[in-house]
Order: sequence, then C-alpha cells, then structure tokens
Amino acid sequence: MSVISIKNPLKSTVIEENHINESDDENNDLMLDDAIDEVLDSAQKRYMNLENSSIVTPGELITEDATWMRGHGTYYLDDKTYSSVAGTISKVNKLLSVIPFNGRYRPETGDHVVGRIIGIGNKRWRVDLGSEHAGILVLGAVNLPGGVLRRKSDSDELQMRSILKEGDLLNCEVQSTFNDGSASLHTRSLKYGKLRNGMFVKVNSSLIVRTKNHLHELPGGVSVIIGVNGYCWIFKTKNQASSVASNKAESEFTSASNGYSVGMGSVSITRLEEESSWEIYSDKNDKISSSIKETISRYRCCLLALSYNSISINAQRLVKAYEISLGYGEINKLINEDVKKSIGEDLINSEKMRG
Amino acid sequence: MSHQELLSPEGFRYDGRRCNEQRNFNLELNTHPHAADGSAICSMGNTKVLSLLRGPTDSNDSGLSLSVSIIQPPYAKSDRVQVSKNDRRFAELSLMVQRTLLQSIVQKAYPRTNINIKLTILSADGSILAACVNSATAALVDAGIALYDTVTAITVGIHDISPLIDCNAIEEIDLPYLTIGTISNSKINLLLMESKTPLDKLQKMINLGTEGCIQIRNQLDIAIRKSAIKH
Repeated sequence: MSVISIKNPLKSTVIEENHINESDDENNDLMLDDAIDEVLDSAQKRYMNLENSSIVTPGELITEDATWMRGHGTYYLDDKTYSSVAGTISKVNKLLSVIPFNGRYRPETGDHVVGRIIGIGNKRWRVDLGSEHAGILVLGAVNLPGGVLRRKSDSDELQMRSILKEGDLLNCEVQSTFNDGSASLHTRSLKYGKLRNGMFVKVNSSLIVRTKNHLHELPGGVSVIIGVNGYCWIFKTKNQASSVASNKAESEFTSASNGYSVGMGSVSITRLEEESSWEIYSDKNDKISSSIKETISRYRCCLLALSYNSISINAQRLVKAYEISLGYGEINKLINEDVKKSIGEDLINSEKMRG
Repeated sequence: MSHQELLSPEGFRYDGRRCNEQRNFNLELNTHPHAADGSAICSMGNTKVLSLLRGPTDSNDSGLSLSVSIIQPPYAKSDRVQVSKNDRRFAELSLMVQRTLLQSIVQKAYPRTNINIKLTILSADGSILAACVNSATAALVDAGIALYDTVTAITVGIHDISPLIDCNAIEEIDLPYLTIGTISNSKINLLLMESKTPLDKLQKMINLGTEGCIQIRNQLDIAIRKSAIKH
C-alpha cells in the first residue's frame, strides 16, 4: 500500500525506492564479483550506471540542448527534446534517437528479409514482413524463369501466380522505403527468391543485428537465412552443382562415350540462365533425408531457445546453441521451457569463458 | 449501507485505508509476448485489467485508427453475470479510453495504420475506467508506439468534505465519484463524473486525483524500467 499525501507529491519516496533497489543491486554485484579485480569491478559499475541512465520512458526530457538533430523515437516542444518511446538513447554524431525495446520491424534499405506473399494485384505482390505496412514486390523486380532479361509484358502480369502465389515464402532485399515506413522489395539476384526445402521460424526482430551476410551454412548439411525482420528460414543446404546441372553433366557424360565436344562437362559462365529455370519457382521440395529433417528441427528449437532467453541471434551463437543442445538428448526434449532456459544460460556462460 | 461505515470518525475507510491511500497497485508489462505486440496487466486492489494490443498494422484509412474494445467475462464480479457484447456502458467506456489515448499517440508517425487494443476486465472492484486507461497505456508503451507522454488515471470519491482516492465497488455505489486521467504530470486528459456533487468540492477532488495520477505515473515508470531490464 502506498500513501498519498496532498501537501508534497510522493516523488521523493519513489526516488528513494529506486535508490534502494540500485544499492541492493550493487550489493549483489559486489557479492558476486568479490573475486574479480577491483579495477574491473569499478569499470563494470561505471558501465552499468551508464546503461541505467540511458533508458528513457515516453515523455521523459532527454536534453534541453537545441543543437541535437531529433531522430526516431523523439519529439520536441520549445527546443526541448523528449523521448516518445521506452528505449535506449542512441547518439550518432549529432543525431539523437531512441531505440525502442519492443516494436514492429521497421524496414531499412538493404535489409535482407524473409517474407510471405499475402496478395497479388496491379503488377505487384504484397509481402508480409511483420512490419507495420506490407512490403511491395513489383513484377519488374523479380527474375523471370529462364533468366531472360526483358520488360515485363501483360502476359507476364497474367502469369504472376505461376511465379509467386499467396502463401509462398521468399527471401528478398529492401530496395527502398517510403515515407510511411513501407518497403519496396526486389529479388534481382540468385541468392534471393522463393524458399523451399525447409522450415519457417519467427523470432523477435529486435534480437537480430544487421550484418553483411544473413545466409549462413551451418554444420549438419543445413543452412539458415536469418531475416532482419525476425523471420528465419532453415533449409537443406543446396548442392554446389544444382540438380539440373548435375543431370546435364550426367547426360553429357553418357554422350561422351560417343566423342568429345568443346565445353563439355563445364558449367557455363552465366549460371543465371541455367539456375533461373522454372525450377526456382517450383513448389516441390527435394528429397530430404530424415536425419537432415531432424537437424533442421533441432536448429529450430535452438532459435526459439535463443529467442526465449532474449539473446541476440547470429550464426555463431546458433551453432553454439546447437552444440549445447546435443547434450540435452532428443529433439522433443528441447521444447521444454526449463531446457530452453538452461541452453540460454549455458550459452551465456560459454561466451563469458571465452571473454 | 450508511455513510457512517464508509469513513469512520477515526478517518479509516470501509476497507481500512485512509482517505488518501491508494489500493495495492501492480503493473506488469509484456505479459503475453507471443499473443500480442504489446500486453500489460494492471491491478488496482481487486480490480484487474488485461490489455492486448495488436498493431500497428496496415489500414485503408488515411490517418491512424485506434480501436478499443472492452470485454467483461462473467467471472469478473462476485455474482456471475453475462455482459452482452454490445453493452452500451462498455461501448461508452471504450470510446472514452480510445479518445483519451488517441491524444497521447504521436499520430503523424503512424499514417495509414490501425492499432487494436482489447481490454479484458479479469476482475471488477471499482475504478474500472481508470484501470483500463492505465493498462492500455502500459500496453502502448510495451508495443513501442510513440507517445507524447503516458496517460494515467484514478478515481476520487467524496464523503462529506473528505475526498477518497481510488474507490472500490462499495464506495462507488454510495458516493459521488469522478475518474480523472492526466498526461504530463498535471494536464487533465480525462474527466468523467456520473453523479452530482456540490461545485466547491470538485476542486478538492481534482487536486487529490492529480496527485494520485502522478503517483501512478511514477509506478508505471518503474514498471517500464523493470520490463526493460528483463529484456
């Protein structure tokens, strides 16, 4: 129960409460870090103080200095800058912004994302990215089957459903963003396009850090696309030589007994033509062995465990979590919340050991 | 029930509180991380409101459309009563919550979007509107939606000359009371009074209510920071 007095507002007691909590925390830290060198301890404390002070809540005054540029998550009244979300302050040169703890994904140009087609219309697909607005993939921004490079005609527009239809998953790149925060996408590269041979996992987008590469090959014959929007795709690693190419090579090999021809057995310079056949938009999965299926589902459980523990996700961590999870036996045991928690703890411990 | 019992000569209320004593206030953010973009449970004494927020999502309207719905399940009160889906009282309450919150959202940051808040009264013991506002504000903060400031609300009743803060259901039946919501510590954003009281007492009630709102705002602030540390 808290008492309200009319005369003086109870801010002071609240502040005291805060203070008590902080000192408690410090005490605990001191107890924990007894063995650690004092210098390290003070440095850590300084770091922690810094972190505490940079958390702001909506309506909190950030600065009265008018020279700062106001970025996302802020607003200003009479030259004073206030926070509009609960988050941490980020200062880049003269740009002041607040990064919210939670919130939907906001697309940025160049993001590698995984999305799902939710609608088709007027030469464009609408793609769900888990953001405020659906992304837009225009017909001109996809590779046509066969790799032909030309203007898209009306007949292409009529055939759009044979390329991508509602419910299909694809990985793509954000080409540009609009004023309202919606994104225009493109798949004009062989690494983008429709997704097959795998499993979809959704995690919180705030856990994923933008990196140079979001497609990773993992041990166990499995690859993962960690979309910046928190949508991930775990799938069987593609063979170096695609099945088409290998078929072609085989047929050439059999014909080789008849005689030698120039360029035989080699892969052509532009793989675009070979790889962008209708097969890249096929709905059929390749044959996946049960061991790979198990590995995929184990990786899925690891991703969910990382998400459960709010650990930011990257490929190294995922591999490490996978290694740890092998110690917990069967995959179906990884669904247990306690197991997820202890995977997270083990991971944090192992990272601390490495420093 | 006579007025005598609601405030004893010693200055204690029916449930043992003093005039300016709030009920146990508890606020928890991010209670349903998978079911919603933002979620919170606000309890003020025995009143408990869960809010689930979905959005911002695509919408065809040009600006921001905020929809609020309030549901009271049959088990919310001590006697089991079914509240119909289009109950007029709850429709009115949800409209008030919607108007109160819409002013606090930075609307220009959300063009063509829709935010949907579902409030469920898990247990009702007075101050329902106040608990709904507090809970919905917390859900907005949890969802990372840009707000100018947080809105917090509380009820104030009046017994003869002494204003009573944070009324429970028994006090609400017998006493004239108002619900007050403030933004930025002292600006009044919501004021609802459905009963009659002499005008000279109103200022007293508003003063106490404003103090109460500041108190709740501080507690909301602490709850936000706590949930931040959890992340």
